[in-house]
Amino acid sequence: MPQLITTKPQLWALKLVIHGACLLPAIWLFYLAAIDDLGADPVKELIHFYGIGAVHCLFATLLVSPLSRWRKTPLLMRCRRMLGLYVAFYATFHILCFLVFEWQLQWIDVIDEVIRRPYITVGFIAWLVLMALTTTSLKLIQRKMGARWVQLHSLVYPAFALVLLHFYWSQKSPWNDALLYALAGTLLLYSKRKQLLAWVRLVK
Amino acid sequence: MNKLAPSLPESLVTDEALYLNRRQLIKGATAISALSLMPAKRAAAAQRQPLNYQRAESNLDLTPEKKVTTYNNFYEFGTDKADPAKHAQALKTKPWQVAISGEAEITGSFNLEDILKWNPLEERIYRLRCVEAWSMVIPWIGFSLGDMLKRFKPTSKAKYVVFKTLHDPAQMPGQRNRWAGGGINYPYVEGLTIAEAMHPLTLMAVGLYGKTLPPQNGAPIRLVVPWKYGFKSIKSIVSIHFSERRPRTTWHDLAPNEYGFFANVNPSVAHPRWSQASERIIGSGGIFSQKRRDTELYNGYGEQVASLYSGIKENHFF
Ligand code: HEM
Repeated sequence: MPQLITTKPQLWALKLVIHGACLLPAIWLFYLAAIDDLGADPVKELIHFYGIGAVHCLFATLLVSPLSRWRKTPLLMRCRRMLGLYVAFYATFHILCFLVFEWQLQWIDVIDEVIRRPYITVGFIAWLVLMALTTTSLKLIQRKMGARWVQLHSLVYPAFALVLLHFYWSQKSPWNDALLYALAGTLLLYSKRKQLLAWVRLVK
Repeated sequence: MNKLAPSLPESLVTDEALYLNRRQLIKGATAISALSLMPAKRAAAAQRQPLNYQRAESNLDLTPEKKVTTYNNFYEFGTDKADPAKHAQALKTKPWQVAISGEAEITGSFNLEDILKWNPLEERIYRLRCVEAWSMVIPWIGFSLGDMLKRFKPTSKAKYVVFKTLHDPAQMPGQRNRWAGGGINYPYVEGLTIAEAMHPLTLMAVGLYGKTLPPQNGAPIRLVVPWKYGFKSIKSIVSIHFSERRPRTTWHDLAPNEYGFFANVNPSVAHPRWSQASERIIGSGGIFSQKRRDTELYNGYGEQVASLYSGIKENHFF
């Protein structure tokens, strides 16, 4: 089976495509929401779009290493960091929309929601983890942290599980798309069980 | 205020010529060939007929018609709020019958056209407060449910009134498939106490914004109970039953801790997953012109309805 990409220019082209795929819809939908052309409730529409966007990027991030191993294409690994950063980008916009547009910056009410509503508490914890991973994603920090960096960044798996829980819990009825995502997520985590077990042993 | 609606009942619903022709065709011997023409019409938006009614005035800011008709919870047509406007347009609302049964002297099946002759139509501008913490202001057209129910002479055993939505999986994708329908047990059922049903604010709506209801808003006839969360206001009603016992109702059955039977709007009782203290106003404008308002007890209709609940403390809350 041929490698997916072999040269630097191909990598740059791939990166460009990823930037476009992540940035353009995010900007376009924000624009539509601003001019009231995104359905009857543009606020919810944006919150949902950025939430789902974060989940899609997270799946993509976690699929990079299996894909690069399967197709023997180590260069792919160079895309993983930017995908991870887009998870944080989407998740942060998701939360900003909630804070600014849904709650009109009523901080007290938002803090109250984060504390009192378990599904939002779960989302918030996931976001804190994502922020910890984002701020330690620089190469320099990675090198300085060494083995501890791997330990810390393995937290992406529990964060992933929390995100899927938050997603499912946010839905009004019991049968919904979030179940399919949870199923796919479980399969993904199962395929990484060796790494996960190794990590659990390390942390202990 | 405009002139009173003319009392000519036939003129309540102004059919367009084309529509009439098609109806007569369907009624006639050529019914089958007429029906076979239907699929071609499917994609087109359902035609709404202008209504004659007594106008109302209100100082509330109306939610734009486009938003009222594209932001709907009607899981029979999908769980996304944009789904019903997309998938409900082919809903067949003529002919339409409502079955009356249970503890009443007069029962049986009634044609909607006849029901419409019983009472003049009037406009009612109500705030609709959804359990999901948003609200709209909608100019409904209809008549008091109580005026309709009195005709059937409910007996002293009639303690509750139970409503059902059409159950027709062929027309309603959400009823064919658990995923599309959000896992609800269809048909959708809602209920009121007889006192709530007889309250003058309780409306049977057949139109909004001057015309008959679009399918996504519950055509051809639906309930509107303005002091309760929106899920109580059941759509596309085919059955009204007078019952001695409290019925099982759809959302209450699905999640009893989240959706009460009474479901009176109450800012001090949170939904387990979100606060009900305030609500987002679905109005005109994009994300930079959003507004919130504090939710009012009984959605602001407390003066008229609080007396219904004197003495039943627990119910009043949930
Ligand atoms: C403090 C942190 C967070 C808050 C306050 C928050 C808030 C919310 C709210 C209010 C909803 C439901 C919207 C509705 O009413 O339908 C929601 C849904 C969702 N959230 Fe979050 N969230 C947070 C963190 C996250 C994170 C970190 C992710 C992903 C990385 C995420 C992904 C999602 C997804 C996928 C949905 C479902 C969207 C849909 O139904 O289409 N959230 N979130």
